[in-house]
Amino acid sequence: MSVETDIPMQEIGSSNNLERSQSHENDNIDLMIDTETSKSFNSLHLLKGDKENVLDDSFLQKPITGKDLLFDHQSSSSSLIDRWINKVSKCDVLSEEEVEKLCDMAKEVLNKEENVQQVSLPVTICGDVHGQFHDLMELFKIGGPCPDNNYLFMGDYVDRGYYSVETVTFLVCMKVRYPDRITILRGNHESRQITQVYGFYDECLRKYGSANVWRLFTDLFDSFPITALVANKIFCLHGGLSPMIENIDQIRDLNRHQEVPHEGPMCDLLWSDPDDRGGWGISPRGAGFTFGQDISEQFNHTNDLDLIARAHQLVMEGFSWSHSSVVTIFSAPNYCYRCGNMSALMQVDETFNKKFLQFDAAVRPGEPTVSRKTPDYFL
Amino acid sequence: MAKTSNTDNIGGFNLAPKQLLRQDTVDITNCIILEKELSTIEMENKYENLKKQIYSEPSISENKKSKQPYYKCFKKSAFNNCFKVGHDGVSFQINTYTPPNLEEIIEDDEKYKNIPIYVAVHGAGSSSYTFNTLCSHLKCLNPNMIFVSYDLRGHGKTIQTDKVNTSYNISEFVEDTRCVLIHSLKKIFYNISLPKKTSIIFIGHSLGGSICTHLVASTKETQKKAKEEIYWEKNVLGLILLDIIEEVAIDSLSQMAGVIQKTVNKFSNLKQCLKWHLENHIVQNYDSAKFSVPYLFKICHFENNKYYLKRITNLDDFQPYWNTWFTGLSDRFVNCRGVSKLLILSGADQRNQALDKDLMIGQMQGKFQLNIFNNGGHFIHEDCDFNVAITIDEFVKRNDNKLIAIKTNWKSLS
Repeated sequence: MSVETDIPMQEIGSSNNLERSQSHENDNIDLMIDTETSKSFNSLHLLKGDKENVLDDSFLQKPITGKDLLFDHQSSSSSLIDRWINKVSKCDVLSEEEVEKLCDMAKEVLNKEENVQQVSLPVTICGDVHGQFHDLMELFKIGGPCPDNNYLFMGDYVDRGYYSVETVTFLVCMKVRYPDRITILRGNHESRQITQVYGFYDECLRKYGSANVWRLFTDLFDSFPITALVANKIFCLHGGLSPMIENIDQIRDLNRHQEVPHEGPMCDLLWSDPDDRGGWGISPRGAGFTFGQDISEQFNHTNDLDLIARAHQLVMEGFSWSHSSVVTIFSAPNYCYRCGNMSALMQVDETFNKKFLQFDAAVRPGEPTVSRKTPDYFL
Repeated sequence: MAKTSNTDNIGGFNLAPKQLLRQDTVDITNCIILEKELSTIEMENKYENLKKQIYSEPSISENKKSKQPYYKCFKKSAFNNCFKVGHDGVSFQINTYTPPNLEEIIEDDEKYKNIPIYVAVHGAGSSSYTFNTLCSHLKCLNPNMIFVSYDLRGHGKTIQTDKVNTSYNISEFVEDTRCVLIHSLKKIFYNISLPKKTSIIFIGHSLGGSICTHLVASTKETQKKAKEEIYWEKNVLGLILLDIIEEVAIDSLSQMAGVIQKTVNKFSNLKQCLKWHLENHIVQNYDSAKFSVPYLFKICHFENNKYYLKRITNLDDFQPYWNTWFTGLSDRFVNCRGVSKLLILSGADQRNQALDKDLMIGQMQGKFQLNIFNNGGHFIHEDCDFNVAITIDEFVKRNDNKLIAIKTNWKSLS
């Protein structure tokens, strides 16, 4: 059981912090976190003295570094990207220039990938992360370090959580460093429009003082592949099926290098949800469609598939089966610090055996205070 | 959110600053001047004329905003069919828009495939006129729609007729709305049954959102249904909430005493009244405020030929009922089935982070549509009037199965 959660550390317990948040009650929470961001991950051990009872001792022996998590098997490379990975894994951000360089390198790698990226077994398949950086680090601990293990992420790295910049930087660094070991698909939040409303834009502005980094990343998102095919049997994507995509080959014909459109097949793949009702339905989300068991069975039959793995929906246990051959995987535990859900990842071995690993955000001393400004409503 | 306001030039008229009135004093020098000794009805008529004058005056913001695409400045009230309905000792003011060619729209099924009926319920301290500009925009987007809005008890032109103690419990508001709705529909449709191609879409702002959610949820639940309910309930298509989140609303109740205290209730003239509301960011869009704000006031005699404006609603009256207003709203909204749901929020105060647990899980499970507009405050449908109208219009077109058949190119399923 890990103690790390994605909640900013200064919110844990100490009276000092309480005073602080009270005296700043009109400030918005993100500004308060920002100043502490860089400390949070490595400062765990500092808490040992007064919070010993709630923390796992073995975890506290030394601060965690990217090296522990990721490079167990190899000598620390002095390459640029390894330095970046090391830095970001401590929940630091790269400089704007470094992000620009990173995005250039990533574009080269990602542009070569296909709309339906081929992935081989074994692989660990993960769902939404949403800026919960520390939970992502926990995920790599649970699922095993990368590149020793292959990973496939099905989108939604940014927005809502407080560390979208660190999360997406880390995953893109890993992609550039180990392009054959990690696959990162595009989610509906990897879009210019959505990120302006749900937090990534504001976070970039706060952490860099300008929207340049947001622009670099959202441009890069246009290069992300939109679906993956694992060993020709498991079809992976963020949302779900489209009434305009009967055959996987039709996806290969799409032009994915664009902002996620409001409608059409590319939009559907990133927005649709499975549903109990049969056939196609209008999605209550306002984009994409719902599809019934008849649809998913037909799609799997037509394309000779065993399984559709997708993310996009919060499921309380971290994973959930719908129909007989659609699985939803959601990898942001206690989503947005209030939903109380588990996170899960799905490991598939060479013989198609599937294993689900679930994990929680840690139980925290005291309530995580996601404070918000109370508006002076006229009711 | 830093908001700057152009204090001297709001709405295109100049006012010396610091002439704002304190709550219970009237600034005599700027009072409305009319003839002496007017009867109540004469006073009201004069006030109506003053309002119409304000509606039609050009505003500074009009020049600024007219460069924006799709910008429209309305100079007349959107409502063309207004009447009163009595229920529970209260006479309700109902303001509606009905298309002049309604009979043709009902009869011609080829040309008119659907008739959206918007039923809009305002929040506490507001009035049906908060939806005036929204209604105008919706009318431009689709002239073949019906818009029904009414003043809640204790608000606007709705008046108490029986001298009994009024309750402002949520259940009273819900029953009022149910009753007003059935009477309005019967009046609009000449007592014939509701045409199949009508779709009812509830729009509730703030407290009104809670009222609508209660109403829709209860019609979906009730087993034994009164004949009158069956009249309309199968036509319910959508439920739209405007800037209301249960947890945030309940939190904000603790600050309401301060808000009420700061609220100025008397003004010596309309321009001062508008200026105060704009400067305090209650409404930020002058083109909508010019309709919604004057409607909150009634004209009163001061002395001789001098008259002033007094806020109609006494916000203090509601305090004992607050605890009934919002509890359970998020759960009721998320789990209300068989109806398309849309939540429109103001992006102010980090409201994208403010969804409570029920709403957050519901949204992440795809149970409703969420739209957030960063350029407006709590009265989001007034501040972002056009964008909210577009969103609502598209929401209806998207969800109305009378209008769409899902296109598919799947050969295997045909």
